Amino acid sequence: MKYDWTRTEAWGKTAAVFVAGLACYLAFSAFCGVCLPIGQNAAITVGVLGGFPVWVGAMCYAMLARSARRAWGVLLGIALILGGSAVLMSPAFS
Amino acid sequence: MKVKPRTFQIMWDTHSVCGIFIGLALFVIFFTGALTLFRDAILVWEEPSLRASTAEVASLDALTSEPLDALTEDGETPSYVYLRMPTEHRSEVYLQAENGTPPEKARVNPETGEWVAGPSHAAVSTLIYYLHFFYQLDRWGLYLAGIIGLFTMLAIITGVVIHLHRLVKDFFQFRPGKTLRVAWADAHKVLGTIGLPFQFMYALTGTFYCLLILVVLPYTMLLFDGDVSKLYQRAGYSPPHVTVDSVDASGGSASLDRIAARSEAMWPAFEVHSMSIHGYDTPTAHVEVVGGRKDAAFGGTGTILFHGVTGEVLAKSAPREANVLNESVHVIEALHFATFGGTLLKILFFMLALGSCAVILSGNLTWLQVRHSQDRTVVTVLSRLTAGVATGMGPATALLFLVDRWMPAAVAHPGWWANVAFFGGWAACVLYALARRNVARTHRSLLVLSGLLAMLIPLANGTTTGAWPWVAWSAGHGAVVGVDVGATLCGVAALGGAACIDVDATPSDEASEPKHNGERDRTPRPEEVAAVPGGH
Repeated sequence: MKYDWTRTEAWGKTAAVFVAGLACYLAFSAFCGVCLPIGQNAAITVGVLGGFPVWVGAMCYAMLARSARRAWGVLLGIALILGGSAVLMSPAFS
Repeated sequence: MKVKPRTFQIMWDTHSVCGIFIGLALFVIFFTGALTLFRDAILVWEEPSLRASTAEVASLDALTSEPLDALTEDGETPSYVYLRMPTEHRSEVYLQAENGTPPEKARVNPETGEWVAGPSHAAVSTLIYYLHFFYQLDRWGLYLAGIIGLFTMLAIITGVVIHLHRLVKDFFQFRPGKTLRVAWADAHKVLGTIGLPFQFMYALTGTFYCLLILVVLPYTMLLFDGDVSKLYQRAGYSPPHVTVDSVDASGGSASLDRIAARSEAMWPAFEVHSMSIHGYDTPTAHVEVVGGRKDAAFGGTGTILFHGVTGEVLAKSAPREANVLNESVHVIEALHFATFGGTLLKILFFMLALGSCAVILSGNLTWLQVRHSQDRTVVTVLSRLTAGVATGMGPATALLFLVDRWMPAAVAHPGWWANVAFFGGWAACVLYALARRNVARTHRSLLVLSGLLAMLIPLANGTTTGAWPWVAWSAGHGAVVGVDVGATLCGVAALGGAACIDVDATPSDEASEPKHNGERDRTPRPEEVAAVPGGH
């Protein structure tokens, strides 16, 4: 196969495109809605609309990453930081 | 700007694989989307009783009472009624009544009061509209369409990245006289660049509509205590929630005409788009009015909450004071449904949507041409499937229109038969394409069939309803004339396209000889297709 990807590598990256990309999208949207200091309506707008390009960016990164492990690690790390911040700072949690 | 070779290679392959996987489904989405732009015109064409000369509403109370009684034949009053008003783009009043059961729908002619209801009404426009987001598969189809929209964005971004350094040069380069592979690749790049903003806008707004549910859940949990209606209020789809006092409802409900008139007088240039009646004919009945500004192409909505019995205004929110979320959501709506301009804008969007279909097809055909000599089953099947699914949509769609007009009135379930005609016709085209070796001949046959069937559409309308184009024109039924003329033009275009196909340019499968060992399985590298003039 091209780029010397093993079968595991190829499936790992493809799974990262779908799953880790979705996690990034949800975390980014939630983070914007909860944490951006620009008024809640504007923040939700940025989260909802900006989230899709972020999702596509995450998909591109997953394909371009040096390894599937790195793709999963970076994307899930970003999702955890953004999503965790959103949950901790949300009115529902505090 | 040039990207690193590894990035270029991965972006190239992501673009190709993405395009091949979603290509045909995306073609269906754009093709049906192009027709859905004229959904209301098609509705008026297929339902002669809804043909009105003006969008003026006679009397809402008079128009809605009879269909509402009919929709609730069991004698129970509906718990919820939704009413959508006619606009510049839509001539009929749409009515939906619910009583803890699936909603019953009706469409009313605002001029004559005639109405149509039942599962079989508006079969053509509904089938095309549902197919636009695969709603035949229920909500799973919607999610599938959303994922396809997301991958469309990925294909667009990767396509831009790999062509960025040659974007201007490639835009002025179309060489139909060279090999087929070069011609398809040139067409793909030129049409893709022309339609880039349009395609990205539709990929983004379409994904937004189909996958919005994903983000609604975390927002309602984190910000609105699990109450989704608060998010919809912020987005301008309903007025602020207030407690509605219970009053004596023996005198009946407030007049809808009066509510509409008072709403339009509330703010300058305010136009009512819809009314939602909750608790119809009960002591706590209330009417939600949503509307927008007539003097602005883009902008948020204004909402008013009336008491359904006393007519008292309980809450209101002016369109000029709409928040950014409300405005953004309605800008997306105006962009996606092309409601920010007149008919000319819709025609432009229709052509851009068909251009997007051409981008998808040319990309698909480039990929197939590159691998033409490889003698692989997947290439053969995909090549034939492209002809059957994409070009086969033409005859199937024209057949749908014809069957709807020429179906005998005594047929029990006309909507079901319309579905059989469309999907059966489409399946027949796919089977025909799969069985035939020369793909170019398949494209040409299907285009000829599309053209001939499409040109019969005005004939079908004229013979069954008497609304020949000149008669419909003099009666002020512009939508009917538009569909007839549009079908004829599409038919002419399909026949023209068929005439342009050189069936000998693509050798039939049996004629294509596999190359010698080393060459046979070799797929050209991206730079061979992208950068070397002449391709081969």
